[in-house]
Amino acid sequence: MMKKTITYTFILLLLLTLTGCQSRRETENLAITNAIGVDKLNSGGKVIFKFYEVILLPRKLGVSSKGTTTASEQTYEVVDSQGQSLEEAVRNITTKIPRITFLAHTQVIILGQSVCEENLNEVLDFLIRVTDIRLRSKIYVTKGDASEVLQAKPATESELGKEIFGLGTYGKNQSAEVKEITLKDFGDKILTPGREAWAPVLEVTNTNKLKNENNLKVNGLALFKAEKLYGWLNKNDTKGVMLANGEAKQGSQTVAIADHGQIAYLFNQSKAKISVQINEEKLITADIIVKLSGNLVESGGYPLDNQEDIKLAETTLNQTFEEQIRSAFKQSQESESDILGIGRLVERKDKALWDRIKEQWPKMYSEVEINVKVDSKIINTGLRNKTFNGKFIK
Amino acid sequence: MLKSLSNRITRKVKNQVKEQPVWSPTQQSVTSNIKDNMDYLQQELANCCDLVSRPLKIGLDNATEAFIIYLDDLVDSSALEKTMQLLMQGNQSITNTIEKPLHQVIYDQLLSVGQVMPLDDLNTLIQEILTGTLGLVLDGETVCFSLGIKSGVVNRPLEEPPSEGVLRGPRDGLSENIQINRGLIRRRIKSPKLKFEKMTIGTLTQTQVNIVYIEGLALASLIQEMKQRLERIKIDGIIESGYIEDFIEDTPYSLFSQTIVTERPDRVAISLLNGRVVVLIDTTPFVLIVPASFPRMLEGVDDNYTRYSFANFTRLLRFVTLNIALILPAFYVAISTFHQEMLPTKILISLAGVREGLPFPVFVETLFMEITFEIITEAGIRLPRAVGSAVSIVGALVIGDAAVSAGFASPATVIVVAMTAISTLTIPEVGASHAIRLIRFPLLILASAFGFLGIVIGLLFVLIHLCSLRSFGVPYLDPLAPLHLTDFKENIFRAPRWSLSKRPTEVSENNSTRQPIRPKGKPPKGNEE
Repeated sequence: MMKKTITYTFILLLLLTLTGCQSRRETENLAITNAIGVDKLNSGGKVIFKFYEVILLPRKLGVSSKGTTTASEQTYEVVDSQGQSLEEAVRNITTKIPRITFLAHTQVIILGQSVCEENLNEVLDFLIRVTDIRLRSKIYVTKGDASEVLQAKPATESELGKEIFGLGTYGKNQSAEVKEITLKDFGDKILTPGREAWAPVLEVTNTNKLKNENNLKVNGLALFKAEKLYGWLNKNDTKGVMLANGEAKQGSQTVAIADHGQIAYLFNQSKAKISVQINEEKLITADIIVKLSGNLVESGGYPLDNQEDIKLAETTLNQTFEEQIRSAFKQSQESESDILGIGRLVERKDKALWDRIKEQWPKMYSEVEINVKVDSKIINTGLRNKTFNGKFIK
Repeated sequence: MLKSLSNRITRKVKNQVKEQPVWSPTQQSVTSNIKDNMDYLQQELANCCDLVSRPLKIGLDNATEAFIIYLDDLVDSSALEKTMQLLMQGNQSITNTIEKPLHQVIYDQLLSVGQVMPLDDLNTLIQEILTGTLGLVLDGETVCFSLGIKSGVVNRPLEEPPSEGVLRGPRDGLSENIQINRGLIRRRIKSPKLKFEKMTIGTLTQTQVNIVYIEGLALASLIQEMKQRLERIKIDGIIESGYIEDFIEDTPYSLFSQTIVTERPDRVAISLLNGRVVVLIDTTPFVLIVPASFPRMLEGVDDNYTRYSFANFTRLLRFVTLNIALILPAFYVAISTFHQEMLPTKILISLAGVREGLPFPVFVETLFMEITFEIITEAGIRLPRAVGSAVSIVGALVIGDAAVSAGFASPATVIVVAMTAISTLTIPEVGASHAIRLIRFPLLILASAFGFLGIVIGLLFVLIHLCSLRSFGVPYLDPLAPLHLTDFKENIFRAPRWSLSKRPTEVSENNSTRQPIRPKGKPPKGNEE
């Protein structure tokens, strides 16, 4: 009994050493990457991918064992490499940095325009197939090369990945002009027939005019048709799209009313319903009904004394929003990019018809008619009901 | 090689010589010749300087020769004086001497002591004398007496038990004297059904051991089993309850203690009322309660006294601290060497920041710090009280500050080790916290080799072991496995006292009703004005 116990204990102990702690990696040896970028070069008919990693430098970011460091130092490093495949590019990076490549904390993926136009298939396949990168990472597209965006300086955050992540994550709750999309949703939308993908566009700007720096902003959407970039939406049209698919959480609209001056409206709830009608000639019409509720937050001289005034303001707002949605829809039709998923609705409504038309759907999409109806409500007019310019007017 | 090693460990010696036991008393009848009796007793108790023997004349007209024998340090001197006075001057009061034998007359009329034991065996008398009684041998009689005039030996005042402090609850603790302990328990349960069954264990120490239970409540089979296990012990001496504990456990090699050890009489009483069996051992304040179960070990006795809401909170807290104490270091090592993707980015960055430039891997660092903490704990117990605070200052400085500022350890490791240490101290039962302290290290090693997988494998081993473990036939994880949801009210949570109408299922099959009704409080009727 005792002999057996001792023998088994020895065997168990040996077993522990056998594994050799194979997949062990110490935290301080990781090259923590929180943003990656992909560009491509064409050299002699061959596609060469350029891969960028934004590697954080923990000792300059947080409290190190030797105390805090000064804030002015750069807290991240952008490392680039190239390869015929993305994996090759990643392996090439490992020859340049003395640490273990660690992509699991990637929060932001930036895709250059050329990649999106021609090689999105390979890139998405890599991003989703690799177990390291989370499907929760956010996708951004740039006009031009991703490297331009990666050279920008973060304006308020300590490092670039966090800055971009914050732009989308916090921006989308405060403005309907900003939107973000996860890698998973992006991939799903690209694969689903009858619905096209979109991704927010990152643009270089100057946040603080006093400093001569390149900063970043989110500006509009990139529209895809199947797995190819096909067109762009500007800020206003982004709001129209978000209103139409009910994803706008908060946003404002300024409208001028007759000759009374202008008001600013801030909606904080939106609901949208899209339905399709198919008539006998198989013509497809989409009805978009949007319900908004929010507050009047600013009035430049427009009186809000009675219900009629508010009604008029609401009607004017409705017209403006409807116009925006129509414009956005038109824009997406020009790109043949069905970002609202009208095709899916057609499929649900009439499967037989859809099976017949799905091959030509992008073409047909550009001919879909829409009826837009916006019903915006002013719930509250704030702490004042009179304006400041009525002192001498009776 | 292995064979010789294991032989050496188990001390298997061939050609063993048959040894004689040091003292194995046989029957030695009292003879009618007082001289022979005296010689025998003095020969057996030779070289015992605490022995006093003294011949005297008693009976009618002081005609009968007799002698008394006792151990000076163990008897109560005033009781001794009184007894001797009566014996030597009691001839006036003796009447009716003709019909009855002398020893009967003396027993009936002269012995003013409550506890008198007529004996016919001299070796039994010796054993009685050794416990502090007065031996009285009469000439011409084959019966001698043992008179109980024990003094309480050295009695320290009843103090609050240092190992089990409570915020609310009685402040008395058990003492080293079994008599006082019996009194403390009896004072709490004044029922004729509370039984103390006496046994003597230890061929040399002759230690008194009591099996305590409430008749009709504790399972007869449990009491029987306990008696059998105690009777099996043939060791030369029992010094502390730990000696007994080793003998009566179901699985002796387990890391988990299968008895509840306490020095609180209130805890003993609560256990008795639940149908458990208690073993009192003379010369130690620590008693054993069986059957034990692991959830019971997370139960502080004052959970029963504080309000149910807060008691529940502290119980849940202890379940949390149990997990922290067991796996936090392993979890920390696993997550910072294998599963960095599980950490939020910000935490990972600060972890990587503080770890940069440190000489040791996380595992080595954590192991060193854990060992350092164990050293400080051990030192805290061993060192005299006066330097205790010095130890804690040195410990705090060494672990907390110096190691970090010298760049040997990261602050994160210090936080983890400190958190683990504090959590370990919240576990009320010493047996449980010792087991947890021991299991922590294998888990740490497994975590460093296999990450979370290792921790899970280790925990499964522990869990399987706990599931198979039994304390006197009762599953160790009762009431979790097998599941007794009704017991959760008392054992996992602490429901208000009025709602606890049933005793624990596993130990009280006999009689499970604690109270027939549920007298829930409510405001008086008809006072709504």
